[in-house]
Amino acid sequence: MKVIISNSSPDPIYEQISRQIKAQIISSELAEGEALPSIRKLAQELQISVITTKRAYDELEREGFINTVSGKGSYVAVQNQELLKEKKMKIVEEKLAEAVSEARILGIGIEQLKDMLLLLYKEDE
Amino acid sequence: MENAIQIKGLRKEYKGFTLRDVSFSMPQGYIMGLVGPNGAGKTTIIKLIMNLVRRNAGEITVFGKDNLKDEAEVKSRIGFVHETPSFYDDAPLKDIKAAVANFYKKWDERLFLALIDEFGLPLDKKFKKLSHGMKMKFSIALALSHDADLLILDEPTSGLDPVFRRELLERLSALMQDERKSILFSTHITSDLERTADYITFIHDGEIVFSLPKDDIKETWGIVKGSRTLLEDQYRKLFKGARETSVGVEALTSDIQEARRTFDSDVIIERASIEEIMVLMDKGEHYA
Amino acid sequence: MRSLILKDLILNKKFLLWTGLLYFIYVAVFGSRIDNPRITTVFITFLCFIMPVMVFTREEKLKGTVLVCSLPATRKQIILARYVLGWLLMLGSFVLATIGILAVPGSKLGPEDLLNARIIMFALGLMALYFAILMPLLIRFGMVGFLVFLISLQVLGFITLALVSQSALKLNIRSSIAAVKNAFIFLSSNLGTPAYYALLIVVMVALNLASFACSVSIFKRKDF
Repeated sequence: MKVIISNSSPDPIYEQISRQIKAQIISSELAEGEALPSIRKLAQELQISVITTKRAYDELEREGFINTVSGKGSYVAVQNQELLKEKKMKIVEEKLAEAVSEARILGIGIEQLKDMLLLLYKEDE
Repeated sequence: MENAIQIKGLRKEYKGFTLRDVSFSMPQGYIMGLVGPNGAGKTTIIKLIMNLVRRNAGEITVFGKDNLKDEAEVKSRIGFVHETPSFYDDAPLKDIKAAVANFYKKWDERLFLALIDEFGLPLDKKFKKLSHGMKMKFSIALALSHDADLLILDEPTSGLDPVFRRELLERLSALMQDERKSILFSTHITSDLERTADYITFIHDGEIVFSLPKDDIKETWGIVKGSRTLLEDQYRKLFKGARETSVGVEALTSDIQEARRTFDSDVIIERASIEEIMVLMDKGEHYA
Repeated sequence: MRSLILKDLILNKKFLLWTGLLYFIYVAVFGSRIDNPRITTVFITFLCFIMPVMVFTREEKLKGTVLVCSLPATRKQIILARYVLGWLLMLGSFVLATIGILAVPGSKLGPEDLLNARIIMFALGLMALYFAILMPLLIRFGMVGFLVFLISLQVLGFITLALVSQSALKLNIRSSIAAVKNAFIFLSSNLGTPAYYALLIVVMVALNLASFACSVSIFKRKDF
């Protein structure tokens, strides 16, 4: 499992972790049933707070990506491919919903929003 | 599971300094850093927990037990490292160890000897002949050798060379793999906490400013950098402290989201480091 | 309790050995020159609380008290251990001194002079009195307290002598001392020796208990 965190990124660290692990599970880099390091071990290796790693793992568990057995550790959950696709869609949907609601509050119209989306997509390429 | 430490309404009066209304708790299984400028009250709080000084008001419980009523029981579970370790100056280390070991049922001689070996401490030498760093190491070795559930360290890294400081912090980190252990340590060297702490309690001038998970602090406290307009009255309630230089102003806010909403592009808003919080809070008199 | 007492013995072992030896020699040499058992007793007992005093003030001087207060023991237990250890050291010193004096060849006193109940009770009484007064002072003021104690004794002695030399008061002092002595004799003869001794012991214990209570409350208030 590979996790790299950036202190200068605007994203909270727990999110960086859960996102990276999620990506590796989705791309099958992390196999089903594979064991993840314990939250404390991960905290020690990344030199961050155990609360952070716990939060990341809690989120992953909530979204069905991992299973935690108390006393034993955390394992990559069995991923149904359909469900997986759905999950990915859901993640992006949530983010878009946030953007839409912010846009509404700030009075930004749908056309402007579409333009922004295009721009951002192009930026990352 | 009860908290490792729970403090309510603690008060201690000294001539010229009062620790007042201190309340915070520390759950089991985590590291809490007690941070603040020199003289803010960190050592006082620790001394009050250890009952080295008497409190004027308030209550302190450790693992659910009152630290005065159950003093001996509470202390048997604590490994304590004082800011300036002092034992019988005249006595050789092995005698001090022999005297101390008797007090703890869970004394682990093998572990102690392993630590002594690792730290390179000469057991036959008299305590007064050791350098400050070695006195600290010895004190730490004693504190770690009786399976203490709670470690309380008062400024453990000040006066230590960077190599040992790093080793000590790593050792503390390694200890935390056992989720029954808790660590409270006070420091004014904030970089110690940036990595290892789970919770941070910030003390300023005898009062608790906040006691929060480190991540929450990172996510909510920020530095707004901009021009002198930041010092205007309209922004007063947003900031907790500010530093003005000839080329601009840095202001500390405890609500970074609010700051992001308030200001537009002519400021830079960054997450605040613990050190910046400490420094800028010190310059916050007119924001109090 | 055991660990508290052991702590003092371990950390002071060299000191105790050397001081014990010196004390032994000093008392043996000079004590054996005295031919009055009462004075000998005063001499011995005056010095035998030096040992506990030195042990306790050493702890203060060598900055060991902070350590003690961080160990799993209550303030009360710490003081109790001091009282117990103090008495053990005093009694030990007394035995040592007595042996010393008796063992020196040419000693002016023999076993029958020193090893009788009256002299021993007298010694215990003095020790109990010194200790009871001294301990709270020591705990409150540290080494300074001990010096204050010694100096006060001296000053008291001087004042008494000065007053006694004033002939008008001579009779008063004399008669008050006589009155005290008579009180003791009265009690002694009326109660019978065992009861009298029992009463004395009760008084000594009561004194030490009061002293203990006082010391504990002083020590509980101390900030380190």
